[in-house]
Amino acid sequence: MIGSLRGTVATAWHNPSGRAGIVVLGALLTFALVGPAFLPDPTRIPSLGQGAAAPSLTHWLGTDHFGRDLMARLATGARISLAIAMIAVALSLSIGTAVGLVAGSLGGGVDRVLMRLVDAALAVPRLFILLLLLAVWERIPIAALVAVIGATGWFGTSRLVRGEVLRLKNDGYIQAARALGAGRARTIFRHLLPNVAGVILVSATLSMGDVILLEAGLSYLGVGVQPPTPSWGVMVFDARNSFATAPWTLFFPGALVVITVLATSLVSDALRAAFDPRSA
Amino acid sequence: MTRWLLRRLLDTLATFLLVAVLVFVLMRIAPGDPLDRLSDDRPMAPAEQARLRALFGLDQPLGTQFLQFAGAAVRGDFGASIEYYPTRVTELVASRLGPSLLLGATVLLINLFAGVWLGVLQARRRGSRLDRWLTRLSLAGYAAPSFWLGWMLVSIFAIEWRLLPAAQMTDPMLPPNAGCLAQAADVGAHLILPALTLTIISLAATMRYQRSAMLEVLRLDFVLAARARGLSERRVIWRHAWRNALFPILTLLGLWLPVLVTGAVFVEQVFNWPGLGSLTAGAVMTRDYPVLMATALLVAAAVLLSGVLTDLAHRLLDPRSRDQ
Repeated sequence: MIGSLRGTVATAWHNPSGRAGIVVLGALLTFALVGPAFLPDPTRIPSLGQGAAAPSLTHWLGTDHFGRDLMARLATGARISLAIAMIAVALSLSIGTAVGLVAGSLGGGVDRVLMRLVDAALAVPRLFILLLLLAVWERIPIAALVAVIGATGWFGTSRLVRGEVLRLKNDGYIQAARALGAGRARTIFRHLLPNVAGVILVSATLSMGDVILLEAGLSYLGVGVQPPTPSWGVMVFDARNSFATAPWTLFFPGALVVITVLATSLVSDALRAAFDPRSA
Repeated sequence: MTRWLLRRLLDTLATFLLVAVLVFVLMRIAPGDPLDRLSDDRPMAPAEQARLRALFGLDQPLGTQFLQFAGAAVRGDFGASIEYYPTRVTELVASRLGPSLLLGATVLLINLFAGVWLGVLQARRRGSRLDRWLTRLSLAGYAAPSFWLGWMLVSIFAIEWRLLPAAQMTDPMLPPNAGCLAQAADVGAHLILPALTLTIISLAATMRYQRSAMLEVLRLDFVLAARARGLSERRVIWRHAWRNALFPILTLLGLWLPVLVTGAVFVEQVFNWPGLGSLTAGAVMTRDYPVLMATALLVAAAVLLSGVLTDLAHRLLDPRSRDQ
């Protein structure tokens, strides 16, 4: 089954949109990893009263209203946004998968209690849950931000995984494994988990984009990444007073979010199409 | 049917109570105190702080606080806003409801018509260049941060071209004795940019659902039969196929609401639209937690109710769903 997972990724690579998405994500990761080493300090304010400078040879994407290099801020922002998204998604997928597996395979009262809680949590849009958690928090550390975003993103995944488990539970090969004397843990980890991996993968790529948008939104509202640390959301917030005279300060950070999220959606679509060709 | 509805409503009520507990717990497990901010600008005497904490009930044990909160909430009272003290939260929310509903309904309507039409178009031309580009464009809209898109539209339409107003719901320069029509036109002009922003970010979901629902139906025999009888393409698509591809769109109503409400927080903030979204965004910035709790609960109630309505519509329209 892991073999077929590799096959799916290969199929996604042969889909032009999927390949474009993968290439763009790769380029962004490289920009995030390598960029800051070659660019000026994103938080240093060169000299006061300099104002925003238009894109030029010295500052390829211009500078913001403090005279800070925009490209350097975008690169560091990419590092932060992508790292937050990847860690938070990994966290919520792990929790969601665990809860889904437990609820689906144990069933009964455990299942009912867990799903009732998930129902309640799903009724409040994720942004509102996060706002409630973060609003009274003074200077939120990034680690706490990641933990909180990750801890609020697993409800949908747990539902998805539980559904898959219920669907697969009565399949011949699971029954066969049970009949051959495989214990509950072995059935779950060796037989069920590999078969729900596809669903999890698609949901992972999809939630990557969501989390990037969410983090940008939280930072924009002042309850996410705290300035002067650059995050794409913080940069849009900073630009809202200067964009009339320096439109590039607004355009670039948002455009980078669009490119990133679009790339994750394309990859997610390609993966889904590879799993289920009928849906394309 | 009545018994089903009753059971479903009771079930929803139970979930809602759980949501209320959740909202309360979330608000209190975060470190920090809602009143900290008040002492940001100038030092505050401990006695004064204690007085304020008592005023908002923050000095009570958590259990007591929850019972007070729940008891008052049942009566429709969420306490006083901290930022707009002594205005009641309920009053504040009520005054913001109208503009939010106006914006939401406008977006829903445009979304429904444009999304359905484009989705059907895509399904009819499945795999064509048009289909692929419509998918990509709508996905790009979904990928845009709503607040950024809002500011971009402001900078183009309001600042660069000076075509449309950039903020508020009405023009303060409009004479108060202006006619009904002039006032409606004024609100309409202010509505365009926020509605456009929200539509762009939410259109992808509708198109996608309609496209795949339509593709499912177009494969079926009765569509082939309708074509074989020589019916016009338009009749086949809209009269025969589309009617049967309408169910999945119902499901979408339940999914839309969270997206729309979330988007509204940012878009209303950007355009200073006097609705619940900008109230929420403002409450975040000023840590006005009674307001935040009230809006979160209101949104949850709306989401849960829309779920009940979707199920009800399904059961009314599709007899098969009643057996489950």
